[in-house]
Amino acid sequence: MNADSRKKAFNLIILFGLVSLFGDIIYEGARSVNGPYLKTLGANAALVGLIAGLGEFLGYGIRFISGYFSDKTRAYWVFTFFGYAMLCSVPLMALAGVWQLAALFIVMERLGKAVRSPARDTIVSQAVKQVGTGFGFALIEVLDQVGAVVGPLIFSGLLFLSQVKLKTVNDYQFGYSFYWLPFFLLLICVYVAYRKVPNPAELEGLPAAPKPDKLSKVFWTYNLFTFLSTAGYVNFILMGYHFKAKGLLTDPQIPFFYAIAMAVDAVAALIIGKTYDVFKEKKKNELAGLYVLIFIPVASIFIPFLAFSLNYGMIVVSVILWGAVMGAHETIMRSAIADITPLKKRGTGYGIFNVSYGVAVFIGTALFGLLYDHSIFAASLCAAGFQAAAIAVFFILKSQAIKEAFHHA
Amino acid sequence: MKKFVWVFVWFVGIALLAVITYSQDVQIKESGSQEASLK
Repeated sequence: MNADSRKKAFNLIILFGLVSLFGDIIYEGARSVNGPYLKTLGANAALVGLIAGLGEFLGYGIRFISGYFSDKTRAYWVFTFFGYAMLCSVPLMALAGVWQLAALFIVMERLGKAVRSPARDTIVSQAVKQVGTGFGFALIEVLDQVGAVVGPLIFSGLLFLSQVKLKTVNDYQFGYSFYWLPFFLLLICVYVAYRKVPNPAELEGLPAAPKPDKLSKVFWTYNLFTFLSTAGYVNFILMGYHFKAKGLLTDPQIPFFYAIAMAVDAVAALIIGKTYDVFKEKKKNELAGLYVLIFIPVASIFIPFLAFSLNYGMIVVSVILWGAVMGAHETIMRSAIADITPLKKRGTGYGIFNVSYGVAVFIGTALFGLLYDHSIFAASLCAAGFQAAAIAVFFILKSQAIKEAFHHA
Repeated sequence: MKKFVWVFVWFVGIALLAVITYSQDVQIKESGSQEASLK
């Protein structure tokens, strides 16, 4: 490991941090207003739920395929470029005068994430080996969350500056067109990163000898748990739709609330991630971190009742809680996979997890959107039912983890 | 003991929120049907 490759790796991490920052400004900014924008274009809650669910499903499901092909072809930069270029769908939303076209762009944005994520993660994972895995990922995550807060705030500010009280399609389109600027900056950063390190594999040392193994019982129970708790986790697009449809928040307030959720997400991710590590260390057991997972369904069960209420205070609490749970999804839900899968099966483990996560988001969002149009109570009860089932599965998972740890001891 | 108190508070919280959501739902539906009959 020499100083030159360490410097190269550090530069690459900083550049990918900036790419994440610009990327999050674009797509988190868009996600904060896609619900109200679709409403302005005349879509109902069922359609909004279906569009968001389909986008998320493809966003996670396709990762399995794009990961396989990026590994097979080793064309990691090509997949990264192409995936990031698909982010042009966000500023293109400014040209969508009908909800069908807007829906196509929403799905396209998620597809782009699916195309680039496995390839980008591979490039980054090779670079972080030089500077320390925890530090490297934390650096990118911090810049990522800065973008996730700034993006919605830009939209909130632009909508606030517009003098008309009732926002029209034009106000939203003006906001979307602003994202051309971070889009081009992002492409420049990706290009510079490629020019600096065209072959990132050189940054990683010799790989460890592979150990043959298979996926455990805990892995499958864990997937059932994440499936249920993700299916019962209300998507922000529906929350935004509800806030606008019931006149609970003004148009500029909706992306501002999303920015608050993203800030809470960043803080919660750090706390929950640290707690996960502390549990593992305290119990001297790799699987002990799984106990922290109970936080997800226990907190998520309140979100639909609070978010779909007509009370301002309850909405504020729901947004904070939503951000905290999202922080848990992004940290412990993903890092747990590394602890419960053998190295040789890790790629497959992440692939199965992503597909199941995508299907869960699709089913949950489409179902709540459909139920919301008929009865808000039924939609909330359905989400709570998923979380209650997840709690039951958690206790099965816990007993299996204890058994497995005992077996290995 | 402390654990049971927390579990109890959690259950009461959910039940309370469910009741609030239900009464809100009824209110929304009633006002919706009133608006429809006025039209």
